[in-house]
Amino acid sequence: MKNILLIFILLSQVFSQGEWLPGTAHTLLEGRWEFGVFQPVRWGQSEDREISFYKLTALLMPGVTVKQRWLQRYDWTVSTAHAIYYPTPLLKMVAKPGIGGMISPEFEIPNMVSLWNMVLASKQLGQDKIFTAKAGFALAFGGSDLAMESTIDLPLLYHRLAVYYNGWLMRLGADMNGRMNEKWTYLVDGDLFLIPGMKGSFALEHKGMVTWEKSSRFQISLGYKMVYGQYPDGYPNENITRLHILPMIDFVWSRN
Amino acid sequence: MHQCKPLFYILFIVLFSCEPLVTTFDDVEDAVLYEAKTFTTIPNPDNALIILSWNIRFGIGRLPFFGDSCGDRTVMTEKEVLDALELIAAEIDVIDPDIILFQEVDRESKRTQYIDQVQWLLDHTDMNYAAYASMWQAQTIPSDGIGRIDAGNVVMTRHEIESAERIQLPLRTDQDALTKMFYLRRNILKAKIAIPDQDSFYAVSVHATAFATDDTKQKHIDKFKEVLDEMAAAGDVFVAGGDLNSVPPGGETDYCDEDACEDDVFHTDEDGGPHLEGSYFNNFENEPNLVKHLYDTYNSAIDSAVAITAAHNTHSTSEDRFWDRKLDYIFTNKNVASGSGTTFQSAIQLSDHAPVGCAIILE
Repeated sequence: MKNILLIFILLSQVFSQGEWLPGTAHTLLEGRWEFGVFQPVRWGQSEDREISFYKLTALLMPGVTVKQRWLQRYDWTVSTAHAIYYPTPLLKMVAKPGIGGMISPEFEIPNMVSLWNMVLASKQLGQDKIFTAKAGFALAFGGSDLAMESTIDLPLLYHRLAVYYNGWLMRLGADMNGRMNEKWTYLVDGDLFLIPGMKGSFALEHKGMVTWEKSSRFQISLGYKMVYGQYPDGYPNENITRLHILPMIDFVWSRN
Repeated sequence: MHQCKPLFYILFIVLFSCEPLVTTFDDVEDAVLYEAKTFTTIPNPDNALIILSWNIRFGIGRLPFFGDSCGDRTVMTEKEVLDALELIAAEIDVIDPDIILFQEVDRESKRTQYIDQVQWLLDHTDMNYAAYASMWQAQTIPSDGIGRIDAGNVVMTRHEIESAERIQLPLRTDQDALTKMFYLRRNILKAKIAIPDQDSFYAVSVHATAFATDDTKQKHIDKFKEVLDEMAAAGDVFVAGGDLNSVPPGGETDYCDEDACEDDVFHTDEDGGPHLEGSYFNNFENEPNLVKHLYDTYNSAIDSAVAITAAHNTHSTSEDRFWDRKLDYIFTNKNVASGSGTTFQSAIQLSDHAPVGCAIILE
């Protein structure tokens, strides 16, 4: 059970790294706190600045994100988000023999940090839609001694951890949030990871979800995540592309 | 607002992605066929074919793999694997066989940098065709950093393979459900080969269980013999062999001392047990004689009278020990050319198994 929990923590934390949370350029209202089990704690530090961090696994993969709103004019909102992560403790924990060993224990996991930076621009489209475009890059430091053979070659994980092996990566993305009626909303998004110079140098992720708002405190989302990504391969190829389609379900609790 | 999105992403990766997490197989299904990038001339067999059986330890030579040699490594570098494959290809060139029965060949495995060793060996030897049957195929093995894996048996030949089938062998019954789900699914690979002037010529590659402590090995060898008996009854010609993980009749059965790693606990009970998995060949009644029926029924590359001699040992777990037991065999219902049976013991650095070869006579 402990090993399963380990794998779960690894996957959930790494997946969360670099997510475009909460998806638009808007920041939380000043003084407002939001708490999540797996999502980061979010705090409206000022009227145009939001700070978020993880609480449950802060010791395994410490990280903090600052989102700063720079512009809010007419239908446009523009922000930048900046995050720093320290994945070393978590990766060391899964570099182990036996069940739960996602990385071979023969590999040393050095001290590394990554910095994720992005620009988010949201535009209100009529009453019921918000379109958000995103562009950013990530830098990593300390990974030069990390063996290339130690990668975790799984969808969602490989391309997020790639920054530690490659030193940098780029991300582009777009979201469309909309409301269909009083109870139903939808979200369609796409994200492109680009890791020039590395085997498995891109991943295109797309998500589609519909959400039923049972009340102001609880909602259920259903949808899918599609990952079309390139991964390392060997003779006779250098890379191989794989498509994964993952059904999604999401339960969301709210507290004002 | 609380959102549990990551949790559900992870659950669904494991449970619902398009590709199964672990590949299971039908009792009988088609094998995967390969061709070399460039063909070499198919020779006239001249009334004889040279056969080779070789467990190549997924092309890592004697590197200290964690699973079988007291090693501490799981993932090899591309250079290490290619260097080992070069040596294997060179040995094949020297032996110059017509048909090779391989075991433990990787083709899409993290541990060997995803090199398709079937294609690589076809493209770097005089072999032209191959058939592959996986014994271990999973998107990821979440243990010891193994990751993605695809390893199995191969029949490789200069002559065209007309068809090939993968015959499932029984799974071990001495494992918990989770381990069993991610564990090996061993098989018999049976390939029909177009040999001139032979109507129904088959080559069969098998790899029996190594670590089972129940009677799974008995089931594997029984099934292997059943497949051979069916071919013999149908009037087919076959060469069959592989790593049977069984010692010859009359051979030593306890290699715990030889194979023990630091911290291994064994031979502590009054009755001599417990024993190390894979190092003890008397786990159940008649295990020491598992191969006897094959020797009694068919011709073999290495005669049973000399099979337990040091000159025909084919395996050792450490490069520091010379071959100390025989686990690899070739059987046929044709005649073996007198004196042609050879155990190529000089290949000590190329794998933890020595290749075994012989020439069979095509009347």
